[in-house]
Amino acid sequence: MKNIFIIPGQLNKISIFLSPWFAFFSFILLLFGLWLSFFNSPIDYQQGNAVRILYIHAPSAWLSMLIYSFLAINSFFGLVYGHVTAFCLARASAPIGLTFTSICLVTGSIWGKPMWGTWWVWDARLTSVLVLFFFYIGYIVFSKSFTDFIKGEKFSSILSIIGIVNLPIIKFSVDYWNTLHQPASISKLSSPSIHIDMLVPLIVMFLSFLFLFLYILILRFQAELNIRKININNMKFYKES
Amino acid sequence: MKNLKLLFYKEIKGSFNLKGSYILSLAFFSISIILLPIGVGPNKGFISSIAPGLIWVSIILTSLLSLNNIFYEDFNDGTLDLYKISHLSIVEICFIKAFVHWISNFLPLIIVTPILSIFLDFPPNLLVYLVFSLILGTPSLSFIGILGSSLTLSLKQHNLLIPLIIFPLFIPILIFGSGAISSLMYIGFEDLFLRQVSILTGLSGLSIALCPFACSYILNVNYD
Repeated sequence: MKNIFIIPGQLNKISIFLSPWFAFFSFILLLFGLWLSFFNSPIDYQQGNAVRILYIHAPSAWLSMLIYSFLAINSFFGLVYGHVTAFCLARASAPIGLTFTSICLVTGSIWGKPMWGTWWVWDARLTSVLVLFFFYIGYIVFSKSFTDFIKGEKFSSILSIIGIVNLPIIKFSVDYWNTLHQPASISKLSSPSIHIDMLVPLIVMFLSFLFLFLYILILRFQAELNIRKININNMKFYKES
Repeated sequence: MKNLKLLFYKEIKGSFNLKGSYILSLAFFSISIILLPIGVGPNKGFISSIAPGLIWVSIILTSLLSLNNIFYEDFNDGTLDLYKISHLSIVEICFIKAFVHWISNFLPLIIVTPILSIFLDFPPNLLVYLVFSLILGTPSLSFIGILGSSLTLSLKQHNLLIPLIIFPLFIPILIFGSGAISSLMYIGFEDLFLRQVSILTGLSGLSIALCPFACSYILNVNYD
């Protein structure tokens, strides 16, 4: 059981088995979540219909942080134990995280224009998410720029582990610098200060985005494995010739 | 300890010769300090109100430019290999390298800042605090910078990549450094200034304590 995530071939088999299910769940939950968030959720008494951006903004923001921690944890295990699958998963997850971070930034600024009156504010939460965006870009560019594959994996893993200092800053930025972005209202353990009619579409959209992430991750993971296979075949070819 | 002293003198001599990067960073810093007010316009009050931010931004841009020289030559001509087989630990070497980088690249900038602040119409009675905050804050730039310098050692385009991967880590220092001086200008010598300067000092202390170890790990990965 414990070898499933270590041996590339087994993980590949499982991922081929799981990928249509992830796509199916993601699609169904996306349709259900969109229906809920457009037609079956209350409008805010201050914000009106603009509150519906929340159902895309908040799940992508959560996922951007979740994917970065996924990337850093995988990089850590890759560095410590040298597992190929960990490196593959880390490299595969970075562009997806970049996409979710940019979705979060763009929807946030579209939401901010009618509510706050500006597209962008140098608020603590916004700045730290922008820094997360640049960490993703730095990681992707840095990991692509190596000709030596193994060295590139190791160095970009170290870079992603250095960048994890940003995650607690994002999490607690709204509590320490209480400026414009609202503080956390859902992850409070005692009682979430959001109505159940708005919480349900939010959770459904989050699950849909999570399955979408897993589906794209699986596709990119298979691509990464194939790149490695091609590299090994090339090496054999050069050895023989 | 004696070997460390010798290494320190050698590095200082090497970095203060004519091909050392301190002249370049001094020139770049002066140019950016002179160019930015020309671009902003000759409005005196406005320039003096943004002076702390201009000085800190110029310092950070200069440091990003000078980072690529810390390990690169030593790595290419094999000096680093000799350091590695000597009985000095790599952590000490990283510490000395970063410290010498601070002395050779930031100390000249801090010395010329009072002169250049005339162009920015900076209040002269606050100059002491500006220099004080620069001395407390800039060591973290050197010590975080050696991480980027050692990560990109085996790359050809290292001087373009270092700014990209390192500048997100410099943002907190920029925020607290320029924020401290701005609060001093607008609010006065208050609790806010002291708090921001102590955060700045804490960041410097943390990076001085932790970064040499991380850097030595990265340098060891280079030789795998």
